Order: sequence, then C-alpha cells, then structure tokens
Amino acid sequence: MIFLGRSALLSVWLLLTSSFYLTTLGQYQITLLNHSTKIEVSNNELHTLVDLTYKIENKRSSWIADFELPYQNDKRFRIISAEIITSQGKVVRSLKNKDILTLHDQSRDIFYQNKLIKKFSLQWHEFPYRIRVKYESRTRDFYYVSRWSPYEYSQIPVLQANLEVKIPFDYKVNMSSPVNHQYDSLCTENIVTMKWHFENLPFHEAEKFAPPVSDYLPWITIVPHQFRFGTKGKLDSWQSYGKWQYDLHQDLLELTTSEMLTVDELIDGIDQKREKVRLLYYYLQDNTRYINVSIDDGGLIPYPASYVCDNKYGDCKALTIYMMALLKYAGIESFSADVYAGDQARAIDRSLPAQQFNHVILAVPIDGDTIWLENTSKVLPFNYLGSFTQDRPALLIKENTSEIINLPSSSSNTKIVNSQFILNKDGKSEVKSMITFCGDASSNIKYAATGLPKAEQRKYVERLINVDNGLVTNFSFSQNDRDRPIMALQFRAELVNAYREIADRLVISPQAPDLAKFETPEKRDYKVVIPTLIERHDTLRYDLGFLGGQLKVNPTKLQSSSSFGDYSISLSQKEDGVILIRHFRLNKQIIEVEEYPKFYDFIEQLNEAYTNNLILKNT
Amino acid sequence: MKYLFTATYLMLLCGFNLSAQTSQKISEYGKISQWEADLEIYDHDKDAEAVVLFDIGKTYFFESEGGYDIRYTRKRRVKILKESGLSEAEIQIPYYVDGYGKTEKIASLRAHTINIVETSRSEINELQRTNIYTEKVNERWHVKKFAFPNVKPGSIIEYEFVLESPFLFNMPNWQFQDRIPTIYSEYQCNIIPFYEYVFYAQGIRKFDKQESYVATANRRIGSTKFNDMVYRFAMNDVPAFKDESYITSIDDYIIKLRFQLAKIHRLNGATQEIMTTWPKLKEELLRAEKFGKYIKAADRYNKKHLKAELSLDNKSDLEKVEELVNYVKGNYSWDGYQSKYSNKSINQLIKEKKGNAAALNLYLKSLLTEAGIEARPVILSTRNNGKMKVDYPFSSFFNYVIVLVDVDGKQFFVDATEVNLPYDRIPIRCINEKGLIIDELETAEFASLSNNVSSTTMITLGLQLAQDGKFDVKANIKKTEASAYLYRNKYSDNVEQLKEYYLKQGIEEIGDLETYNYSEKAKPYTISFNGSSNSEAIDDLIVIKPFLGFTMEENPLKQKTRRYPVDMIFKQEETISSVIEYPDGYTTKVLPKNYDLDNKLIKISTKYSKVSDNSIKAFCTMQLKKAVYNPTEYNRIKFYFDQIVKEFNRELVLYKNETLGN
Repeated sequence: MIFLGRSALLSVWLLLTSSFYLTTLGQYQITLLNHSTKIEVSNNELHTLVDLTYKIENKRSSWIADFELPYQNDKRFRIISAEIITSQGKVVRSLKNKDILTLHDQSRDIFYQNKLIKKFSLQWHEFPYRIRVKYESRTRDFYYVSRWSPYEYSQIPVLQANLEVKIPFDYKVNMSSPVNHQYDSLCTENIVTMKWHFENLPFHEAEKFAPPVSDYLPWITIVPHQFRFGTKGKLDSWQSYGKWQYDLHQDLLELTTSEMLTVDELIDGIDQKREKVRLLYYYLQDNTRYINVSIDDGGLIPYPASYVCDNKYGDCKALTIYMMALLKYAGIESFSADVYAGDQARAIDRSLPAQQFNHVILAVPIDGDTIWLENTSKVLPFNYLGSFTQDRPALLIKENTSEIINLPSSSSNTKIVNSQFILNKDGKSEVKSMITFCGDASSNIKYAATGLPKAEQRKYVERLINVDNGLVTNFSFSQNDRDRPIMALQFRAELVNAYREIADRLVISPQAPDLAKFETPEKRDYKVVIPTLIERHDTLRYDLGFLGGQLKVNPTKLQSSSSFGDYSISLSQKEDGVILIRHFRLNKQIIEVEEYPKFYDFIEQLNEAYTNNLILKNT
Repeated sequence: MKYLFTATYLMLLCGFNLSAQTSQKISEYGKISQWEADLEIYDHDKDAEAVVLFDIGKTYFFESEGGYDIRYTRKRRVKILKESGLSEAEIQIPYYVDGYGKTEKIASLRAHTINIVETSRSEINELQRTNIYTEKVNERWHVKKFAFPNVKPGSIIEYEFVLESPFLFNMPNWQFQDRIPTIYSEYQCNIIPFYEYVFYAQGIRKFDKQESYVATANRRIGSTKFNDMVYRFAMNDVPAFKDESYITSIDDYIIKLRFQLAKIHRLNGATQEIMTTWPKLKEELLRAEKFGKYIKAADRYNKKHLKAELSLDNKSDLEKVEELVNYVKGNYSWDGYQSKYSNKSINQLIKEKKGNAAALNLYLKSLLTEAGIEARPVILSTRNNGKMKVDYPFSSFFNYVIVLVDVDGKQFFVDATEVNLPYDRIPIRCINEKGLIIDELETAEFASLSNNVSSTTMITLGLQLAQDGKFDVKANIKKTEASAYLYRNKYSDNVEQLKEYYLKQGIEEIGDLETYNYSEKAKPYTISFNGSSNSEAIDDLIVIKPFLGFTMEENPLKQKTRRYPVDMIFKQEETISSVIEYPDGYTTKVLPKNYDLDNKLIKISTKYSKVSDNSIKAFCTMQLKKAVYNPTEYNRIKFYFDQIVKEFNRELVLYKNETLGN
C-alpha cells in the first residue's frame, strides 16, 4: 500500500521505519563517521550530493559495505566514488563502473516498480576499516528539497553529520528542523545557504507498543512552495497541496461502459445513499485485488479508474480512484484522504504542508456523517478503519478546502473464548472451543478464512490456539454479518497435556494472555502507546467426569482495576467440573516513561493472575 | 528411472492414443469446455484452492544463425476455485542472459482471463501488453511478470508463451506437479538428430501416456534431410505437492523430468560426446573458464604471492590446511551465492575480497596445492538444490564446490564460506549425499558428504532452592559441531541476545553470562550464567522441572503419516545433568521414575536419584542415531519424540515437612 516512491536520497526514511532493520542491527559494531549531504536548487533542478563514511569494526558488521542504492529510473543518478580506507588511512580500493551492477529494485510488497538499484560491495578483510561513498542525483520532479535525517539507520550511531542546503533567495520554502542543533545561514548573491551540524548521536532501538523510532529522530524537512511532479503544484498550504491532488484525480474518474452498466444493475431500486455506498464497496471488495504496480516517479500519480475496470486490480491509489468513480457514477460525492498507515500511528507535522503520507482511503459524507472506506482490503467491513489507519491525522483532499482531519477511532481488539475441555483418565483430553474475534483481530481471522489454502489455515489455527502437543481435529470459520468486524472460529482438538497429576492433586495450568512481553522498566526508553482497547473474555469449562464425582474445589474470585485496565478471575464448581471465567481489559492509552514501572507491574500481576494453576483435589 | 533420447529413433515405448477424456481436457486457446466452466470443486482434492486444467510444454529445435536454437512453448490453463487461489494469477517467467551476448528471450506471450458470466456465455479479458513488465533480477536472470486481469474465484486463467534459447545445454525441464493439483500435464520434445539428451524422471513410476515416433515433416539442413524424433509424456490427475517438514528440498520429491545434453552429432559424421559419463563431466569442468582455468590462474597468482603473504614454514600439513582455510575465511567474504563456477576472475577476487562459493573454494584449493597439500575440488548439490543422482551424469545437478584434502592418508572436506565453522567442517547446506571429486583421473569417484559426527549439547544445571520457593540457577551449556555452529551463527556471541533467549526459557535475573571458545571454532562453544527461576507452588507442595525449559516441550513431528524421509541432517545427542539442592525441612514427595529406551534408531534415558537428604540428581539424554530416518520409521520416531516430551518434562515434587499431616 506504499505509494511513496523512494528516491535514493529519501531512502533513509524507509530504512528507518523498516521493522527488519530495526530488529537486526543492534548487535553490530558500525559507526557512521560522517554523513554529509549538500542540496542545491538551481533553475528548478534539485541537485543532491551525499558523502558517507562508515567505520566497520568486525566482519560480522561488514554487511553495511554491501550497498544497494535505489533511485528512480528517470532520475539522473551517479556514484561519484566509493572506496575502502584502512585504519592507517590508506585507500586500498576504489570502485570502478564495472564493479557496479544496475538492477531492478524488488520490494516485497510491490509487484513491479520502475525503480532501479546500484549494487556494489566494499568488503575488506582487515578490521577496523572505513568505507566512503559519494553519490549524486539530479531531478526536476521533486516535492521535497530535503527530507533528511543525520541517521542512515536508526540503530547505527552517528559521529558527525552535516546538511547544507542552497536555494535561490526568492525560492520560497516551508521548513522544519529540530531545535537543539547547530545551525547557520548565510545569504550571498541571491543564494541562501543553510547549514546544520550534528555530533555524537546515539543509536535507537524499537520497543514494543512504542511510537515508530523515526518519531524520535531529528529531521530537517524543507518543502518548496511550488513544485513540479508530472504537473506543477503548490505546497504553501494544505489547501494548495490538496488542490494539486484533487485536480490530478478529476481526469481519472471515468468508468468503462460495462462498468457503468454494472453499477446501474447494482443500485437499481436502491434509494438510500448509504446502502448504495455499501453495495458498491462490497462490489469493489469482491471483484478487485491489491496489486501494486508503481511506474511513475514517486508513485504519486494514480492510475485512472478504467485501469481497475479492466484489470480489477490496483494499488491503494488506483483502487481508491476506482471506488470514487463508482460512487461518482452513482451520484455520490466522495473525497480521498491521505494517511500514514501502520499499526502504530506516526507523527505528522501539521504545520508543514508536505507529502507526509503513504496510503490513501476514501471519505463519503452522508447526512452529516462520514463513511470511511479502506479500498485495499478484501476483509474489512464496510465503514470500518482497522488499526492500520484508525485514530490519526489525515489530509482530506478537496478542491479548495483540503485540511488535516482526525480519522475516527473505530477499532477495538476483543477476543471471547468459550471452551469446553473434556478431561479423561488416560491423560488425553478433548477441547471444543468457539472463539469470537471482534474488532481488529477479526480481519486477520477473515483473511485466514478466505485468503489461505486449507493446509495453511490449519497451521494458522494451530499457531493461534497455541496448544502444545495438541492436534486440531477439525475447525471452521464463520461470519454472521459482513458489516460487523466479528469473526468466529470453532475447533476441536485432542490434547495430551490438559492437566497434570501432582501427588494427589490434579492441576490445570490455563494459558497465559496473548499479550506481548514488555521490556523491564530499566530497559524501556519510550512511552507506551496502546492504540486500541484490548479485551479478552474466557469461559473455560473443564469436565472432570472421570473423577467419578470425587472433586473438591474451593470457589475463588479475584479482581483488580487501575487506570491501565482491569481484570477478574473466578473459579467455581459445577456438577462434575469446574468453570474458570477470566477477563481483562487494557485501555486505549498512552503511558509516559515515568509511568511505565507501574504499568509493567500491572501487566506482571495480570499475567500471574491469569496463569494461576487450578488445583483440584480428588477427595 | 533413466532414459536416453537418441537420434537413431530406437524407442517406441508405447502408444499415445489421446483418449476421448484427454482430448476433452485440452482445448484451443480461449475456448473452454463445459466441464471447465462447471468445475467448482476438484473431486480428487476438495480443499484445492485452484487446479491446473492442463499444462502443456513443447520443445522444438529451430534453425538460427549457424545452427539450432531451442524453442520452448508452454500453454497453461488454471481454474481458480477459491479466493485463496488468486495468487496463481501472478506469473513470473524467468529467462537467462549469459552476460556475453547470448540470451534467452520471450518471443511471444499472451494471456487472458475467462469468466463465465451466464450459463454458456463467457467474458474474456486479454492481458494488455503494457501490463507485462521486465525485471532484471540479477546479473544473469531476468524475468517477465504480469498479473492476470479481472480474476476472481471461478475465473479460468490461461497463458501461452514461447521462450527461445541458444543454450542447448539447458533443454527446459518439465514439472508435472505443482503446489495445486494438475488434471493434465504433457511434455513433448521434438529432437533433431544432431543432439542427444539424457533425461531423469523423478517420482514417476509410470507415465499415463508415453510415446515416441518419427515426425512426418521433412526437414533439411544444407543437403542433409532429416526428421524430428518426437517424445511425448503425459500424466493425469497429479496431486498437489504438500510440503512436509524435515525434507531437503521440494526439488527432491516433486514429479518432474530433467534433461541433460549428452551428444552432438555433426553433419560430417563425427560425434561429440558432451557429458554422457562422469569422467567427461570432470574433463569439461577442468577446461571451463570459471573452474579449471580459474584454478590455474589462482595457481599462478599463489606461486608468486603465497610465501609473501603467509608463513607456513615449520607447520605440519594439517596445520597448513587449518592456516589456509582460516586465511581465506578471514580475508575474503562469501557473497551468499552458491555455484560450482567462480563469479570472479582471480584478480577480481584478490582485489574485491568477496566472491561466490566457487571463487573462494577454488582459490582455497589452489592455495592448498601450492602449499604442498593434496587437494581436489568436489562438486555437489546443496540441500535446497535437491539430490544428485549417481546414475545420471548431469552437470546441472551441481551448484556448489568444496575441497577434499588428503593429509597423511586422512581425507576431509574444507570450505571457506562459513566463518563460524571449524576449518575441517563443511556447511550444513553441503551435507547432501554425495559429491563428485574433480581430478584428472579417467574414473569417477564420489565422496560421501554425510556427516557421521554427532552434534552434541551438554547442559549442566545447578538448582538451589531457597525458602521463598525461588531457586538460584547455575547453568553451563556446551555445544559441539553443528549445534555449536548454529548457536555461533544465530547469536554471534552477543551476550544480550543470549540473555534474551534464556529469559524465554524461563530463567530470570540472568547475570555473569560468559561465553567460551567463540573464536576457537574447533572447540565446544560454551555458555555459562547464573540466574534464578521460580518453582511452582501447589498448596503445600513445591513442583520443580529438573531440566527447566531446556528440554523438547513439543513434538516437532505433527503429521499422521509421512511420505518422505525425515532428514535431521546430522546425528544429535543431548544430555542434561541437573543437581537440585533444597534446604532442610523439605522432603521428596514425588521422584519421577527412570526411563530407558535404546534401539537402532534412538536412545532415550532419564535417571533420578537422591544424592543426600538435601539434594537430588536428575539426568536425561537422547541420542538420534541416524541423520535421516526412512518414512517407514516415521511412526516410531514420532512416538519416541512423544516419549521424550513426556519423560524429559516430568516434575519433581517436594513438600515442607512441618506441613505433613495437616
């Protein structure tokens, strides 16, 4: 769903937000000794010159010497020099053109893109050693003068970084930059030169339920008031940027004749606008699929609706334009909205009109309300924004009144488990279970139910229910109402370890709650963001008929409540069995670092209470 | 099964009468039969998300400048049965570019989607040319890719392409099986008399249809007339390939035909043997630019430079081997590519310090030879590339090269790609049956690559119970061979990552974590640390898992039945010895029973004994005596793993004396 094309110079943005890099870099011994970037705007051309020097301490860290520099096919891009320098300062190898491969960039989520990479290696055998790479690019199509961070990878510390930007005196820009840095500016001969300098920046590592690491990094963002990107546009206000996008869309909203006939048939006899939108949205879901083919520079220019009419596939922009066109033909006005999608919302600088987004959805105003449509998903209900886009700022695109709005917080994450365990004397047991998933979790279940082959579904269910040494004998998924984010999973499984016999006692160890293991307080650096309400309700019935009525249970009840959430656990005896009812709720909230120890304690207590053994005495 | 195509039209194995049923299965491009339109569930596999209606390949030799090239045509039709089958509608067709001006090319490609909109009316969506993309994946491989338009469950997708190839050595192979079931699969080769191919049929006991005949069309080259020899093979209702855990590669089991050029018959009557025998394959390699000539170039380089760069004086031959292997590992990097041919010239390797497996290992071979060590390359097929077949001298089976050294009559393999392996061990990917020794002898000698050395893990635990129910843990973990290598690779001796791993095993407050021999690859890799863990309180009882979380807690073998061998790669042995000490006032309530099982396949043993009034000793061991278990042994192995899970996780129960009788 990414529609932000990445130039080599913006590559840092994605690298910084890529979970792969965030989870694998910490163990290496690499320093970015110098990161120097010079940017110049002259005669409406953006010239960027990058000079990087890394120090590599050991062989394990030498992956950094394998470069894949991405650039757009139509951009002039050149490696100026690349060399290996020993610890004594001797240049032992300078790269030649024949050492550089030019290949297509193959991103996992993109079917095809018109982007290339320059691939080369600067490996050496004596450690430590340094590598220095200089490259430049020139383009006339750009909407950022600078989107620059001193970091290349958030987990590699930076010794020194400099940014120099030269723009004509009358070249208007908006900009933002961190406050605590060294900055100079100079104006000579109609050129404004701005310089930023950074030193000794530590590395950053991702933490669970934390804002994206990129939010914590310094960024220098400079946006031209006027830009050219295929066509000319303005970025001096959100309204003007929105207007540029709005104008782009207007020529793209034509449906093919056959598609018009289909729309006519679909909404024939339907009076209510909302119902029309609903029918057309489900038509989109049932007949299109998400395939990202990114041809234009930057991936900003959408395909026309006719492209999706013919192919029945597209990326987020194409599918949204298509949905807009379906609605437009049905006489219903709708507006696209740009958003930065991801499970954790990323900070958007509202004061800086710029292309700060990576996804687009659709808003349909009806009777004073707004229906929100996620057009890339085949599993989300109508008018439902999942955790991917909910509760964050978005740029609503209108002709003259585009604005930053807040997307509604519509999602929750609730799981209701009803299980019956039939325990047998030989230790083998059977469980019959029904799990209802409400909110965000339901879309994953629906994807498994519809998008996975049967064998993969079984593996998915086994992972989901996490029954050690169990064998799922059958399972089925169901959904009663497509309009609601609710899915049910029913399954039966044979268990070999549903209980233990310890001395004269029978012990059942209930499963732990499916919550992430949080860092201990001393290791936590960032605040916690719980983006949606998380709720679990378990009713677990254990049939112990094999004991022949010789069962004695002390009923127990436990509950706790705090600002973080609450939980309760109760155990009771019923006929030849016991019933364990468990509940917990973790509120949608932001927990600052100072509050984290208390939050951590709450989670620990919850875990302990949830996993308390059921000790049953056979009288 | 081994077959030989010859130009002399010897074989007419059986008739190939296209039955009415088969004819019904294949129809013209764009014309679908009623049964295809009606198909909603494939009877032989009711869960199938899509089914190949037919897949037909044809290879034909056509005249090109100065000779013949291969024209390979493929026609494939698939019915999408479920939403989960939509991924079948994204197609990639790779083609090879040799980098020296020769290239395969996709000469034509067409595709469309057929949707049944009403009974007996279908709607066809043609793939637009503008929606076909070309990607350069790496130096040698390009790919044409496209997504079918307007696909949904019920759609029939169909494509045809023609690939033209000047690489006569690489006649296209044919796979009859896919990850979805195939109703009809057919491959036809029209072979001209000038080329002779050998083929290997994997997983095929019998073709449903097989025929060979002389084509009626007359062809000529110059004044020589000839006719093609036509071979056709077909299979019906081929089930989907179902992935199983612990297998080498899907390539080893999927039903397919694999070809190798054997001879070229010249117009003047001469015959050029290409690769009909192993010795010829060896000869070819030794003449190859990126193999034999690369070694010679390395020899020339090493003659000049070895002495200047390395001091091997006063070293024994074994020490020299160790020194040289470690020299290459320490000074050069593996680029991650596997090949039997070097991807660099020797000068490039020396300059760039990085190369593929062949670049490093053939260079190593040269260094060893220059140092006076008998060293020979051994080509092999890595595990993910499938097994080589001793009866089939196919060059294409092999994708890697290592070196066999002979020191004082002792032979062993060396490889320079993996820094975390001892000098005399080869990577796990290379442990795949046999390799072919490349030397100038006129016979073929194979070397077994199997690893008979057990990989061991020895864990020593000291658990000291305190009054509060917590216990202090002292742990010492010693790993050898493949197990040590995997640990070294995974954790890179990173203390924090190791702590994180052991935290997940239920050990808390880990301190004093130390590792030993990370750099001494030949020695056991050892980790020791202190920590704490909680016992489990059940009323007045204290429950302790003597082996904590270090044991197998879940049987990795899940399937009820097994079709393929269970390939564990190497023999394994794991032993945990634990001493549990507890304060005065505790008495043993439950001491688990000992367990012993020992046979040809496995050894399992647990022993629990009271050492004193305040301590108990627990011991468990398991030994997988084979690296590879046959499918017939599967049920037993699965049962044994169940026993390991059960017996190794038994709990020790103590109670406090003063509560006795309460």
